[in-house]
Order: sequence, then C-alpha cells, then structure tokens
Amino acid sequence: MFNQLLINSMIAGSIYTLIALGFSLIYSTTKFFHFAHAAVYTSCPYFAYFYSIYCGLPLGASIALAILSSTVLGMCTELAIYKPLRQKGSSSLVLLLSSLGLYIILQNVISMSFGDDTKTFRSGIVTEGLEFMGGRITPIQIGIILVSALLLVFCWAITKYTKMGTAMRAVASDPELATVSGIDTDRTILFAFMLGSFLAGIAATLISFDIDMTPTMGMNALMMGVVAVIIGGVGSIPGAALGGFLLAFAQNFGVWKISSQWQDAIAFIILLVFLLFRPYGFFGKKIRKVEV
Amino acid sequence: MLKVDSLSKHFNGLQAVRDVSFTIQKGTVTSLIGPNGAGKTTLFNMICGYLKPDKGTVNFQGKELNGSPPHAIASMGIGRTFQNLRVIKMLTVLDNVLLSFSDRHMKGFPGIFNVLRKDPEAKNRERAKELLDFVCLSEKADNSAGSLSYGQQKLLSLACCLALNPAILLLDEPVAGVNQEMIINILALLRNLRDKGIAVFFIEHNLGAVMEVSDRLIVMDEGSIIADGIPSVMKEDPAVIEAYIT
Amino acid sequence: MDYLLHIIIMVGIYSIVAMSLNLLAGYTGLISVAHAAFYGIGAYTTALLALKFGLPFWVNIPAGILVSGVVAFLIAWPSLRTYDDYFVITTFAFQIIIFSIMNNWVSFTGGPLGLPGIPQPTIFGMTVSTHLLFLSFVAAFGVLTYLFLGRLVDSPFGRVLKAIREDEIFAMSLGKDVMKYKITVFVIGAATASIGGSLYAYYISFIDPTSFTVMESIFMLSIVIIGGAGNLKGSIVGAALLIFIPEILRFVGMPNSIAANMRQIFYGGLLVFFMMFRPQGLLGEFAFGKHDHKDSKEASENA
Repeated sequence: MFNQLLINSMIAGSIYTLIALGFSLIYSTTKFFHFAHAAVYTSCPYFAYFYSIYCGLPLGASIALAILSSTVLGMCTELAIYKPLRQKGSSSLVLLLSSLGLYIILQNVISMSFGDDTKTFRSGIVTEGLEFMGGRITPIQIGIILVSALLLVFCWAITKYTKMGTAMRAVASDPELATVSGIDTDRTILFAFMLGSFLAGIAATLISFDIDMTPTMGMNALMMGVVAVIIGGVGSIPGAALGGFLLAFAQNFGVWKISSQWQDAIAFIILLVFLLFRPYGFFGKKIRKVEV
Repeated sequence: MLKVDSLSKHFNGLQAVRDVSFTIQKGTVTSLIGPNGAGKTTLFNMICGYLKPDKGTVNFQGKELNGSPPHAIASMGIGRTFQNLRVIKMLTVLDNVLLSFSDRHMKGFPGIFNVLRKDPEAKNRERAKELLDFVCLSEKADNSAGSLSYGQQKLLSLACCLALNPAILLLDEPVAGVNQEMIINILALLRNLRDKGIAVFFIEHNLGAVMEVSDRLIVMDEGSIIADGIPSVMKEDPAVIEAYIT
Repeated sequence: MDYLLHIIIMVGIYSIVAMSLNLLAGYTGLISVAHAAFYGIGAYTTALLALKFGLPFWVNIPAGILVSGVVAFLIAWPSLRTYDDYFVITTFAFQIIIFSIMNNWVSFTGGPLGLPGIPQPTIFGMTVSTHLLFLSFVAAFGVLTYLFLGRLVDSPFGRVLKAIREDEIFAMSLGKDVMKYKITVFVIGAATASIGGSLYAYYISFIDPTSFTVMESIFMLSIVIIGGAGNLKGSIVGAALLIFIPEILRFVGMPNSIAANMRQIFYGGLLVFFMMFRPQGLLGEFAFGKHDHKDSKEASENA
C-alpha cells in the first residue's frame, strides 16, 4: 500500500511540477497571477482531440500540432491582453482580474465546442499496469514521470545556459535594471509565456492519457501548481519540483489517513500555511513584502 | 521629549542606520541633513513605527515606543509627512483633514453603529476648517485634493498631520519641489508651530531653507551622525563639508 | 410574468450580495473571491434552522448573519496579513476549504445532495408563497441593506475605508488602525452577504454546494467590478445587467445547451473588456490601482 502511494505521489508530483514550472516562469517575469494558464493547459488535449477525431490526423501529428496550438494560444493571451495592459501601467490586480475573465471565456468555449462530458484518448481496454516494487504503474504513468524529469532538466538548462534564460532571470529579479541593461523585456516575457504554455500543454496531454479530460480540469490543476510554486518558492526551478512532489506526497498520504474528498482542502491548507508563514517558499527570494 | 538611543538598522547586509542617538526638545526646529543614502528616511521610519530597529530604543515623552505600530505612534502625538507626498487625491481637501479625527466609531464593537447617527462630526468640521485656515487652504476646502498644486498638497498634508494635535512633527522634505514663494510660506508655518511649543524635526536637502529656519542641525552620513549642533557653527565643520562632497 | 418576477428576485438577491462585496472590494480595495462561501454559510444556517427546528425567518436570517460574521472574523486576521494578489489567493484558498466542508460533511450539510424541502418564510401567519410576495420580501431586505451600507460608506468610517484603499500608509500616519478597519469591513461584508444566501435558500427551497463554488464568487466579483467598484448603485446595476442580458439571449432563441456557457462568456468577456478599457466599471470610482507597496518599499529603502 505504502509503495503504491509512493508511486501515485511520483506520478502526481511529476504533473504538478510541470504545471508549477510553467506558471513559475510566467509569474516570475510578469509578477501577476496568469489564471488563464489553466485554460491554456486544458486547451492542449482538446486541440489534440480535435485534430485526431475531427480532422482525422494520426495521433502523433495531432499531439504535436496541439502542443503548438496551445503554446500559440498562451502567447496570444500575452500579446492581446497582458502586454497592452502592462503598457498602460495597469496594476497586477487588473491583470489578475482580466486573466480570470479570459479563463472564463476560454473554458466555456471549450465546453461549448466539445461538451462537458469526459473525453478520452484511450482506445481499447484499460490495462492493469505493470508490477513495480509492490505497486502497479502503467506505461503511460511511467511516461509521465520520465517526460517530466526530462522537461525539468531541459528548463533548468535553458534558464542557466541560454541568453533568453538569463534574460528571464534578470527580468524576474529586477525589471527596471533589466531594461536599462538592454534586455527586451517584452520579448523575454513572451518567451516565458511560450515556454510556460508549452509545459502546461504537455502536462495536460500526458494526464489526459492517464485520466481523461474535462473542460474544467485546468483550474484545479493550476491551483495545485500555484500551491507547489508557493511551497517551493517563485522563480526557482528546483523549488517547483520540490513543491510539486511535496504537495503530491502530502495529498496522497493525507488521503490515506483521512478520505479522498479532502484532497483539495489539504492542498489549500498547506497553501495558507505557507502564505502566512513563509510566502517566499523554500527557495524563493522575498519578492513581495507581506507587511511594511 | 523625543529621545533616540543607539538606533540601528541593516538591510541585506547594508548597515543603513548605525547607532544613532539624540534628543529633541519641544519648541525647537531641528533639521536632519545628509547625502542620499545616509539613512535619514530609514531613521524616520523607525521612529514612527514603520520599520523595526535591529537595536536601540525610541522614547517619547517618557514612554518607550519600540514595537508599537505606526498608527498607535501617530495617535500618541508624533505627526509625520512623507517624501513622496501622500494625500488622498480622490477626497476633498476638507475630507482629507477630517480623516485624522478620532475613531470614536471604532471603540468597541457597537461603536460601529455610531455611523447611523445624524451628523456625528460637526465639531470636527469646525476644527478642520481652522486647520485649513492655518495653512491658508480655506478656499480650497471643497475641492478634490488631486486638483491642488504640488505645493498646496504639501500644505494639506501638514494640516492633516496637525489635526492629530502632535507634540512633534517629523517632516520628510517639506519644501522639496515647490516654488520660492511656497517655501517662504512653509518655513513661516514651521516657525509658527515652533512658537506654539511643537517640536519640528525635518529632513531636507535645501540647505538655504535649513539655514533659514533651524535652531539645530543634525548631519548624517552612511548611517551615522557625523555632526550635531548650531547651524552657523556647522557650516564651517570640515566633516560636514566632506560628507557632501564625497 | 412569473418568469420576469423570478429574474427580478434573483437580481434582488445578487444585488444584496454584490453590495456587500463592494464594501470590501470597491470601497476598501480588498478583492475577495471567498464571498460565495459566506453567501453559502447564510444559506445553510437558515436552511438547517428552518428544516430541523422550524424556526422563523427573523431568527434564521440573523443566525446566518452571526455565523457568517464569526467565520469571517476567524479567517480575517490571517488573510489580511497578505496583500493584493496574494490576498486574492488567500481568499481563494478559504473559499475552497469552506466549499469542501459543505460538500463533504455529509451528516451536517447533506453533502453533494444538499438540503431539500426548505419551508417558506411566514410573516404574521401569512406564507410568502407567491413570486410577488417573495419579491416584496427580498426588496425589503434589499432596501434595508442599501440604506445601512449607504450610511456606512458616507460616514467617517466610510471615508477611512476609501483612504485605506487609496493609501494605507497615509491612513496609518493619521492614527488609523488599518488592520482593525479591514477586519471590521471583512466581517460586515460577509455578514451582509449571508442575508442574500438566506433569501436564496428560502426562495429556491433547496440548496446544494454547487451554488457556492469559487466560480460563483468570481461571478459576484464580476458584478461588483462591472457595475462599478466603490459605488453601491453600481452593484445593483451590475446585478441587473449580468442577470437580465443572458436571460434575454435565452429568449431570443439560444439553445439551452449552450445558454449557461454563453452567460459565462458574456460576463467573462465584460470583465476583460472593462479591465482593458474602464477598470472602474460603469459607475465606480476605484480602478484597482495599487499605490502603497511600491511607495512603502521606497520609503523604507531610501536613506
């Protein structure tokens, strides 16, 4: 039982890490809560569904095209809504509220186009999963863990070794200084949106092979990502992973002792504890004063 | 009346204020000068409760202030204005001053229902108008604070602060950014307040104004006080001159 | 005709809730997405007291106010230690936690199945059974709420709220215990919202947790924002707009299957539109700018 919980935590933790990573990249460069990230997340598997079921494209091509589509969607939110607002000098509250509105629009468009019922990619029988250390794990689930690990390393490499990565870190720590140093802030932010949306889309698609998809899957996933980011510290890549896995473990083991209906409540109680006592998480820098 | 003892504060390894001690008596005008980064506003913030000192104490009229929140310190009689001028632009000039008056309606839970009474603040209105008179803003009483000129807003913030009946005023750059005529007005007000027995303690970069009106000059550099005395004497002090040049 | 009355009743109920949230978000600048939780606490308290003990409305509704107020007081102090967007996230967390309790504490709240069969309120022996009667019932509470909140915001207390919204540090420097004001307004806002919830419970005579989700909170916030933050009349106009228009769309022949989605796209779209072009909404005065923390950061880091 314990080992199964461990395995489940690894799977959930991997997904949370991907979402946390994407969200963290965007938040650290723009300093506002991009709620619409949840809709970008959800859009990817639905794009894939559209391309494969409605357009008849092979699954592999559909997925690739879907990841491209949702990444572009994420970038569009920045170009069409956030950038104009930023240029107007709008506060992060205004951006947050507009992001909420955007989320509502996008999620309902998905609902209207595809219906609210769960859709699935799985064709054929549900496999029982391979035996592993006293628990069971399906090939898809192994895939989730591996892909997440790969993407984690990939992101870390980008932020550490590429020019864009350094630019993102600069904008995250001091936007004014970054601009003065000659960094094109807008382009850097757009890159963050691109990378973040890319990660979100992959995470959503992976999970829909494991658990199916609904139009509202994004909001819950995003909130778990936000909790993970706050635990691990904004702007920190190892932090996103730490937060993601800690949260997954806490939820899975907590649910073992209590009951699964309290899963969300557990996550949010953890969030509150961190927000109130350690808002910059384990690895984050104090980017915002809680009190004067 | 205000006694500061060994006050210190550091931020991220930078020692902003280092063992600062002095005493301010009532009915005096003291100015605090020094180059940018000397620690002046940080000092003000510590006295007024916006920042917690790392060590040291602040004593006001015999009571120790450490740890008290800013609003409590303000109510005790320490008035303050800010470097980046703060007034509520959306409210009228009169309303801004009325803000300062007591929170009778916040005393205890049922106090909130005081708001349902007819005109709970007739007396306060009178007093507010007097204060606006004092700073020569009476004709603007019903205008929005945002419509005032920068200098007039500075007068308004002074009036708001005075509404608390402070024994000492801590003013952060009271004549910065205003024209010569307004400077003369404000300095006259400061002298007036001193004559009424209020202690005026202000940060300024305008050395002309400082020399005009101060009874005493405290000079800070890199977090410490490097000179403290009568302005005419200090003008010649080499340490002071050096601080401003380097 | 009954249908029209139904819409007006819903506008009335949402007006009450929106005005209470406006007090918090529009007048004091505390953007909360936990309001549906307090609305729900009012509904559940009233429903349970009516169902289990047969108590009359003039006990149930105040009871709801009390319970909501107490819960709000308990969560206010920790929540208000966070600011701006972090405050929004904190209220989001509390909203979800309270929703989880409503949904999972089956023995008390009936869980996902909710509480059916709530009896109608009776006044002096007469049951409020028709739509017209209920409309009067709601209108009475609506008028009382408007008058009370109106007095509050036009009073010295209200003036301090606006000051806190615009420049909290300045308010502190004038001797205002800002935290105490924020807690007070949070509690009053929650307590008033619960009135709307109680009315809702009586009106629909059946409640379940799906009416009290975070999306519902966001809808309430949208009413406040679109109608106008910082203007009570705006909340009434906002409620009318966001409830009437989607119904009209339904009338003009939109298929039922997408009506709910279109309604959400409508207010989501309006929210984005107003944020981009007119953040103070139709009648409001607060445009969600943040002044303080940048300034206070400067104040403390300048020497």
